[in-house]
Amino acid sequence: MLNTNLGQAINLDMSGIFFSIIDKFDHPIIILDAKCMILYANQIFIETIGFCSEDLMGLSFFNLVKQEEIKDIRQTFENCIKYNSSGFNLQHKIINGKEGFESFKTNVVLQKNESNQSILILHLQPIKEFIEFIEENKKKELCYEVLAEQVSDSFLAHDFEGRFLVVNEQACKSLRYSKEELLNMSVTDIELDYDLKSAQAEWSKVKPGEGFTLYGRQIRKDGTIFPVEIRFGCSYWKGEKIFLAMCRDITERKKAETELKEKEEFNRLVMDNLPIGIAVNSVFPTVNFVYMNDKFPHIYRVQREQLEEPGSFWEVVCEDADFRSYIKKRVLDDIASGEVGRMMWENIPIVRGGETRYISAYNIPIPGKDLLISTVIDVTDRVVAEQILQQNAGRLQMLHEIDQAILKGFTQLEDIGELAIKHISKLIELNQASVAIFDFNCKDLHVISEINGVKSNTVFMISKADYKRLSILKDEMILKNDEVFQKLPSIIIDICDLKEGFSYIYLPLLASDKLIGIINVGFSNEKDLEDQKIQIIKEIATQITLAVEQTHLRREMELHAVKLEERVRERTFQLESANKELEAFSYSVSHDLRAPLRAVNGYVQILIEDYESILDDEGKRICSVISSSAKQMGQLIDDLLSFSRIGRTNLEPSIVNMEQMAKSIYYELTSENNRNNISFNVENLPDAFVDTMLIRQVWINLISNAIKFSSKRESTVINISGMQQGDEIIYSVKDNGAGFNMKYVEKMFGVFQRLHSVKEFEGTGVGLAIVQRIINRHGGRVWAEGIEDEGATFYFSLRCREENSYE
Amino acid sequence: MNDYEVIDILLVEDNPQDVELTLRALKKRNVLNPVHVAEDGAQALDFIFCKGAYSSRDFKNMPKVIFLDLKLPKVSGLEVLKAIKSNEHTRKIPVVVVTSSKEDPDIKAAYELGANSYVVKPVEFDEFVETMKSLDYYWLIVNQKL
Repeated sequence: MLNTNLGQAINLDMSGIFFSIIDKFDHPIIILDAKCMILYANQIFIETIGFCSEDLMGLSFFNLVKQEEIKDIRQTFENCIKYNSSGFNLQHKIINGKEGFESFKTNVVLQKNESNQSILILHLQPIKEFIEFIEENKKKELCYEVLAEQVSDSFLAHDFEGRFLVVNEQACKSLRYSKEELLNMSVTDIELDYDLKSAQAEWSKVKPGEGFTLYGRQIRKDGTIFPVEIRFGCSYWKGEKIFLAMCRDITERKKAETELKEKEEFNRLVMDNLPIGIAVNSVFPTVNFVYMNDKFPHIYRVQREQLEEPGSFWEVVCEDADFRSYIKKRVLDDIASGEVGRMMWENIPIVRGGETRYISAYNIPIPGKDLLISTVIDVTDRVVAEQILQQNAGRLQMLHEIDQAILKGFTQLEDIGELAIKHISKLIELNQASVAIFDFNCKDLHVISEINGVKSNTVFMISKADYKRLSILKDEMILKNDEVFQKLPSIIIDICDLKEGFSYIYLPLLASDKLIGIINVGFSNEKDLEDQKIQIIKEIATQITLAVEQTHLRREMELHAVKLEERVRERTFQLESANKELEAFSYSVSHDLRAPLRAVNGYVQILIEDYESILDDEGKRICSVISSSAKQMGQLIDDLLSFSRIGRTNLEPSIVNMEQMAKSIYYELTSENNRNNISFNVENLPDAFVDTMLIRQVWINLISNAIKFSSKRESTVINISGMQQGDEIIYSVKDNGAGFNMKYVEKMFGVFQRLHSVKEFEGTGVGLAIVQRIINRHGGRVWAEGIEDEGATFYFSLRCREENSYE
Repeated sequence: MNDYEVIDILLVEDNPQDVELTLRALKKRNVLNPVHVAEDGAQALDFIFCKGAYSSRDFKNMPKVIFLDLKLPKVSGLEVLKAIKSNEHTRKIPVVVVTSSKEDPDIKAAYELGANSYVVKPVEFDEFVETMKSLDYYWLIVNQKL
């Protein structure tokens, strides 16, 4: 509402803005001229007194107040104008449309317009609100004072200029000033890093009830500086905006923080310098890392950033897709099992840029969280050492097996080759291998066995020229890539199917400087040609050579054996046919030769019997000679046949009581009359394990000889004895007969050999030959001692009883 | 051919001199029983089993003893012996094997086939007759005709 007079009273140009501002005030405001006539009242004022604005215009302010207060109000206004001063406060009542009067505290502002007329601006504040404000502030003041001493932190309150209004004991203690000293100081005296102007800019933005924390440094009276945490806020005190700072000395905390930081740093240092990789990560659904030490990516030979990319772990760590899916499944299965015992994976090969390193990983689940502590160590050195050990053990085992094979005597070159290939490939990672061995004549090259080469056991014919060319290559060669085709004859390349791009170790197998075979071991990567591998292959080559030589020798031996056997068979066949011929001959001798003999004898007999009367004595004598000659011839034939049969019949040995046999034969051979003349002594003869029929023949011949050759003695003495000597039993038959000259002892056992004339002692000269033959067949010996006209002793020995000792 | 009916001795021998000497030896020792001589193994079998030339002979009239030479043309003595010993009617006829030599390996074979005795051919006739005597049926043969 605007009184038209107001335009004159204040600058009209300004009036629009001015009044619109005043209208928005939430306290009643009224403007009066010097005569206290109402020029303007704002909306709140109109609402407060309950008048309509038209009624209000032109009224005196005094119409609205209590009659008894008019005097005081008028005095205040007059003083105001008189002293040309603003800021007068007065308390009064004013008409209230509803309740009569309401008390206000009114602030009077004097304003002069351009024409130097005074106008009064009254700012009315309801007294109730004012009292509340005062009481509130009083309460606050009390609170500040009381609370300030209660808190353990420093409490400092200051005004907008930074001057301290309230400080507590703790603040004094902390800053080492007295309370009085502090209350004469300002914020800038104790706060370092403080610029009043920029601080004031901050302070003006602070609203009561709001607060914030800031950190700074304060300086004590003694100049020492300490860090503080300040809780900062503002409030009103005694109607003024004041600023409250709760300061806490954080020296200890800072120290602790620093220590903690240092400790953390130390821990980090320790963790990062551990020789094991440690990480904390989730696994499902993807591997995401919460923490990893420096070593962790280092062991995997990747960058930390690569692993920190969520879900990148498997792709980053495993280059090979097949291996990745294998190991991922294995690890996830193991983790999913929940068994801690399964959460360790040892000697896992990690290939990076062609280089393989081995790691072992152990995971420990963190209870209650889907996180695992993953530890990983590089075990390459150990694995490699183990591999070398294993390789060495494998080498030994292989050499042993090849030795065994040699001892066992592989007859097949193929077996040796296969064994060699098997072992080479077991001990060495290779891409191709072949063992080729020449046959005995070096005409065929047997590719015995190979990996990734031509088919096993292929035989190639090679020419002499080719063999010569191959024979020159007597040193092992390490051939890298192209060298293979430059240095090796094409025949090797063809036969062993050597491949371009491969590197080879070429080893000739030399037996006494003769090339017997070739080993080729191929690698797709020339880096693989390590000394150790070459050493292993050399060892194998040596063994193979031995094995092949052995096989060759064995084969040669076998060939010899076969030849020998053939020869034996041939001889046996010859012998058998000779035997058969002999038998046939014997048969015909016994039949065909005898027939005419019989006829001679028979017909002479007829002559003697039927023509006795016409034959004179001489005729009869001649007939008798013819007859006895025929008979003698018959005897010769019989002896000869029996002699030849001894060599052919099979021995059927059994235990023979030699003493009994000798005695009974003696009795068979002699009549009672004979025996009267003979002293026959048999000492305890050992039993013998012999063919009964044949040994009987021996005794017959020896005893009958003894009787025969001592028949001319007046009394005959025959001693038979036997004794064991070593592993022989020696039997002897001694007589006191005609004896013999030792000069002829050699002849004695020959067939038809006689040392006496038939006239002296009849006989065919076959008896001793038969004895010798029988004893020889039993593995014994026969010999004799004799003195002419004194007697002879015949000895024969038999091996002590050994069953199965005869053929 | 009624003579065959009374044959006591069958002599199987191919050598005519041996035949003559044998017959003489028998005669000399008063063995006067009728003797038939077969000159080879085939003939001997024909005679014994009444076949071929002897088909009209009565099988029931068996010889009382057979002197069998082992070495014979055509069918060997051992084969003849085998045939005699494997037929139940002829099995009981005593067979004396006549051999040239006591060293003859066939003697063993002959015994195995069932020969009753053997005699070495008469280099000495006495020997021959002694052997005959040792056979149980000798006196039977001899006494019948004496």
